[in-house]
Amino acid sequence: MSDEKEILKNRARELAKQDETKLSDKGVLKEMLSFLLSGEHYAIETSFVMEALNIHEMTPIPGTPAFLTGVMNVRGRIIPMINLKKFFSLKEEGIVSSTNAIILRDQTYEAAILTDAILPTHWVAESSIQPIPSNLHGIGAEHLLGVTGDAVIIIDGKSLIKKLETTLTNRKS
Amino acid sequence: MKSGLIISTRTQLYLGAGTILTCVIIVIMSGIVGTQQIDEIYAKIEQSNKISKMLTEMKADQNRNHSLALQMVMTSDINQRIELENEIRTKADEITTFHGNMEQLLLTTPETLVKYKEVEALFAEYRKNREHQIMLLKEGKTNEAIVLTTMTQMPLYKKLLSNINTIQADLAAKTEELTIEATNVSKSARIGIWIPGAISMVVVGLMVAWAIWVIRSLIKGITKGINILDITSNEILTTATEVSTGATETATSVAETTTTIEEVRQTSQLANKKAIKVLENSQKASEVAENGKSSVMKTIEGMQRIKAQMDLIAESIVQLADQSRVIGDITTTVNDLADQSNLLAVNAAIEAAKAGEQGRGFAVVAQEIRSLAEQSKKSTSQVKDILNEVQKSVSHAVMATEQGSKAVENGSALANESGEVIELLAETVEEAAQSALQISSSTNEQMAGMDQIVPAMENIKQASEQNVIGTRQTQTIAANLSTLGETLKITIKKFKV
Repeated sequence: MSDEKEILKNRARELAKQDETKLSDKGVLKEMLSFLLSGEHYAIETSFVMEALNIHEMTPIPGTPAFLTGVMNVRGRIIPMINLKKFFSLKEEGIVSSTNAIILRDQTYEAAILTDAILPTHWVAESSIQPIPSNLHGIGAEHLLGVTGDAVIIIDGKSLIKKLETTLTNRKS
Repeated sequence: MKSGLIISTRTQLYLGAGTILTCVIIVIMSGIVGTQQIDEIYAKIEQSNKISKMLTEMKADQNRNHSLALQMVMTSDINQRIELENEIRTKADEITTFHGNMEQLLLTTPETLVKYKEVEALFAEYRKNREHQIMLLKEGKTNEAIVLTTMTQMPLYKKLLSNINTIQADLAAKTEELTIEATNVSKSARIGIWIPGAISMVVVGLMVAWAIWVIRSLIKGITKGINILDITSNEILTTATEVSTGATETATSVAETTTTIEEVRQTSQLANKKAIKVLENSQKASEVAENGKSSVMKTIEGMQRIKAQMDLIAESIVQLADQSRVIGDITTTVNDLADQSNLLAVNAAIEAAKAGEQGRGFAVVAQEIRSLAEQSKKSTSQVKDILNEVQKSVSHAVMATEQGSKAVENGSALANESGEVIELLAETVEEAAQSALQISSSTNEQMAGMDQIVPAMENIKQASEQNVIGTRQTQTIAANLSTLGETLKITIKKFKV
């Protein structure tokens, strides 16, 4: 057991060293949680992620927008479930019936997005994010920060949550 | 058949001959009668001619007398008067003789006789007056005599002549009538000859034609008969020849049969031997069948054991399948656990990030947990693959065991069947043995029968030889018949109508 702990400590140190070098090399780093959606890599800053979870039950709500798949009870809180494929007008392909969801939140609002699969967290330098050309902006493009060099689409968590909040709460009221 | 043919030929011949005879008689009769009638008529005609001639002579005499009387009146010479007177007297006597003859001739014709009587009366008156005249002349009263001559004698003389002429005319008319009658008689006589003559000619012609027809039909019938005779004799000849050939064949067949019988006898001896051998062999075969039966029984038992083993194997395989399914469930559970561990690791990383610098180590641990979860997921997926293979193998094994048990079942059924077959075989062999026994006795009987057949065949041979002789005779007779037919044919050909 002591050996394993030793090994793990060494590995943690090594990882920490890498982060430090990244910080010094590429300016401000942000930790991102990445996931798969219609075969594409997406990522969102972990500061907007409350938790990742398996969905066991979900209640569809009639008379709501098509991208609202339903609502879910997570430890006593009712959280809306968003189908990002419909929200971003993506094709319904890839893993259609996944049970993985990510709960997003800011100071005022919480919502869960359905994903095809949840991938590990990793660090991304702000400078490596290339903005999306302005002439390609469509319905959902304003909620994207840009694309990294290794083709990961970065979602603007703040904007997305705000948009969801305004859309869904306005509807409700 | 015509109704005329019903009358017999003899009757027809008699009828024809009778008709001809009758006709000939009629001809002869009518000829005789006609001639007689004509003769009579001609006699009458001759008579009247004679009378007429006599009357003419009488007329001439009268004329002479009258002229003599006139001369007497005229002459004055007494001598001459006396001569004349004598001549007158002679003539008057001649006339008187005539009268007697005439009356006799005219007895047959009373009318003429009456007229002639008148003439006689006139003669008498004329004579009386002439006597008176002569007397007057003698007395010399010449004038008175002339007056008497001219006044009385002249009219009388004329009347007399005219009366005689009338009689002659009557006679001429009668002669004419008789001539016509003779012509009629000859005509009727001719008819009486011609008609029967014609009839008899026709009858003769018909008879000749009929005779020709009859003879022709006779010849035809005979020719037909000859033809039939010819054909029949030929047929008899052919049949006789066939019979003869048949007899020859029979003789050959008899010889062959005799040979065959000898062969059959040998064959049946052989058959007898073989049958005895079959009997021995079948006893051996039944022993073999008994052995085969027990072997089959053993096979069936072995098969049943195999079946029990197969059932055990099948049970084990089913258990294996159940257990592999359980393993599958377990791996699914492990997979779920790995998934959840993964999520937990992610959440731990997020929490570590929230903790900032303090959570850095925790983040590393979370990373490790995550990689462990990934590894366990990979392992479960490998286990799943292996399990899939195992399940496939199991299902194959299940199928194989099923097929195996089926094969065993079939095998035991086949073994049963072969047991039955062997039993049947044993029965058959038994029957064959009995049959062989029967064959043996049959062949013995057969041999005895063959010995009886040999003399019978000899009898048949003799009979067929006699047959040959008989048919030869028949052939000769048929040939004779044929020759007879030919002769008849030639004869009939000569006799052509």
